[in-house]
Amino acid sequence: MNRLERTLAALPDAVDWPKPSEHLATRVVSRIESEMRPRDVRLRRWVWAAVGTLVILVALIPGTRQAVANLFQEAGVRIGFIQQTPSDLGRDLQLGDPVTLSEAASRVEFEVGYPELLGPPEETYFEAGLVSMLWEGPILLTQRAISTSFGEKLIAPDTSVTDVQLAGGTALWIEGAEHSFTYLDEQGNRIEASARLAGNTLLWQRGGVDHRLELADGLDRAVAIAESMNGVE
Amino acid sequence: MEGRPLQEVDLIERSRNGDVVAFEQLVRAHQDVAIRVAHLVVRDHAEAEDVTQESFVKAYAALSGFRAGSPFRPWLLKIVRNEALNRVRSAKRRHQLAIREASDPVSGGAAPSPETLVVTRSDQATVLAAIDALPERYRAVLTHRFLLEFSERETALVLGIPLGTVKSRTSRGLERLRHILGEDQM
Repeated sequence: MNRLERTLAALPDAVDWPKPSEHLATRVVSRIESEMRPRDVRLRRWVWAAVGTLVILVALIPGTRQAVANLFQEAGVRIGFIQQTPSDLGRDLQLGDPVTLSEAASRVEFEVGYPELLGPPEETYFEAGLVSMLWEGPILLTQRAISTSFGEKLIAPDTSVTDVQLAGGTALWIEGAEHSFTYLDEQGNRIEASARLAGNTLLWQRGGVDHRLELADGLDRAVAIAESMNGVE
Repeated sequence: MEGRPLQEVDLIERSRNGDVVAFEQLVRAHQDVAIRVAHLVVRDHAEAEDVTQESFVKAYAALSGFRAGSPFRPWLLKIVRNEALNRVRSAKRRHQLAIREASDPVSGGAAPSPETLVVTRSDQATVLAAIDALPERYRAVLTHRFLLEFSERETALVLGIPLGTVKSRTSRGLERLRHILGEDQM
């Protein structure tokens, strides 16, 4: 063992490390108890359970169905209408690796943004070109580059789909029952691990980026959030 | 230590079901290493405590996304590191890592190992400063490998980089250290 190796071996004990205060654990617990109100906890549980129990079939009005298909085709996204979604779809959110905003921004070609209305996300994840951000609510925003790959949106009964005008373009608002999302990657592989939160969804494109916002709130709030998008530094 | 993994699995499961008392035990089991991971990024004792607290709260909220059976500690520490990185994005100034005051007792009161005896504080300070001066990609790997004594695998998981990258950066980082310190001196 040379001197560098000996010095390295002795360093862990020599560094001036901080020690956790004796109150750290109790503070964590009291914050969890005060910040995560029972309703939040219940909602979270419901959401996690709901994403595991998807869905049956489609019964959209034919006209709407065509309009939806057209809009998605323009957006490089395809909607599929199917009899039944895979039962193993969406056991979990599986958003990928937790990353920082700047890490996420460095891993993709497009400009990653977040809605100023919500502030920086509480959690950011990255997987296979998808940047996902989570806020309390829960609210989920996913961004990916518009590419030749396309998505299939599997839509449940009791779901309504409407065109929405956003500052700077058209958006699609999907409201109602739970639905799941799968998409095909550039190689044409069907990615089913990406089932997302159940809730209402706003889909739009801007600056070469597909945006998908999922939340329990209504259209007005979704539009306000979408229109407050800004780039990460 | 025997049976500890089982107990941890149990604590995680109970925490996922909303048992905050079980989660408190997980906090106590991992808070020492968590605050060190935070400190490597934020370089401030009070800030590291704050980051650690925040990270545990976020980890609790994210527990439902934790894959049962996968290693818990690197999953947790990755949250800590990301939280710390988010904090320092705006802070320009970064303190250097420091050696403890000489009067501090050796941790745990254990007798110093033979290796420690022949290493001077000055050597330690020199090597620590040299690690700190490395480019981030080497510094991150070397600090986790040698200051936190993580395995290559755990380092890879916490930093979110492939195992092979940890190996190559460790070896290149050490090479750079030897170069900086001078072969004759170290």
